[in-house]
Amino acid sequence: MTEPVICPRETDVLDLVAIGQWPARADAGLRAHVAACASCTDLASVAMAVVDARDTGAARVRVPDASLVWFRAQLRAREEATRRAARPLWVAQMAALGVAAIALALWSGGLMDWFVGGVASAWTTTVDVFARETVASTSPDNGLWSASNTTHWLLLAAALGVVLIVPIALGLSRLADGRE
Amino acid sequence: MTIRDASSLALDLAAARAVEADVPLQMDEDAFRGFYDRTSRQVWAYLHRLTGDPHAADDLLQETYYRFLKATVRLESDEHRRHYLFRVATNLANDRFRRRRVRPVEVAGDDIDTIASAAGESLDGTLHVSQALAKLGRRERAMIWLAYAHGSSHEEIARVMGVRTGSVKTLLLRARRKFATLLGRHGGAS
Repeated sequence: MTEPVICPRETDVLDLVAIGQWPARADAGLRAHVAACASCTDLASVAMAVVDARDTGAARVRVPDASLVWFRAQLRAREEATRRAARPLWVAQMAALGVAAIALALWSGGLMDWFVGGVASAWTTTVDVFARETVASTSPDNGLWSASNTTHWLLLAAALGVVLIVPIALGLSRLADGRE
Repeated sequence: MTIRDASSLALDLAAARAVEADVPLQMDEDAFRGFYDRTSRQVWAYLHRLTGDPHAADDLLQETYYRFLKATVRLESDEHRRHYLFRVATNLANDRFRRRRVRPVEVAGDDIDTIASAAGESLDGTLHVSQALAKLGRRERAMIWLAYAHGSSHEEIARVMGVRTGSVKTLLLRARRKFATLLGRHGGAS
């Protein structure tokens, strides 16, 4: 790519356009040059058009008062700072929830044996029922499914809800807050 | 005091400390008023030309000054602050374009009338300027406006646009040629 050729007299033209004196205060030599120089012709027409558009538009520009912009900026800075301050607290809440869940699990150690055994049994039964349905097209209501198994599944779902879904929901709500 | 109250109080205290320790704003209110009064109209006009939408210019103006006030870089002179301000405005207008993937300035008919009317242009000769500007690319439009409406040098434009000074010369010359052709006043240089 070749370096663009910029006419050395462009500055003279631009200076006069900037003060609104083109072509009134241009000497005959500069006018004759601009008439012959394509680059200066472009410059004069473009600069004059833009300056006219700027000056005519400037009178009608309505911007909010500085106090309002300042107040909004202050308010937003405060909101962002509050959000940042809340972040460690949220992490602490999540950590506390995790610790509580572990403590509960340890405390109910005896109960866990029953729970794990039950879940294993429920799983085996479920697999067995589905296998029979597939192979022999038997009714699922064949006595293999007991009230105990249902209880175990409900407990498992509740445990999953507490351990997984609740923190995820909390996290998503925090993310939504952050986007507002 | 309930656990909820204690938690809320802890949050308020933490927020108050965070606000105090937060990045200080670029200037105090009095200095901001002066700076805003000197620059806001130019920034609005620039954003309006870039976006072609007066409402977008309103929104971006607030955002531009907020980001300016929160800037972590040291802006020592008024000149430096102005360049930084226009750079933020340029980036915000570009972000808006990327987000919406539209070219709102490339409009016709009634929308052009709206732009011209908001810019205070007559519906005969000067309206042509809005139409011609609208046909330029965003970067070309920004360069033309900075160079001829603000009188920015190539170095200043380079700083605002985030490009090399050498590139500004080439790009501005091309944009100028294109704009002059659109205005129907091209000098004829190739």
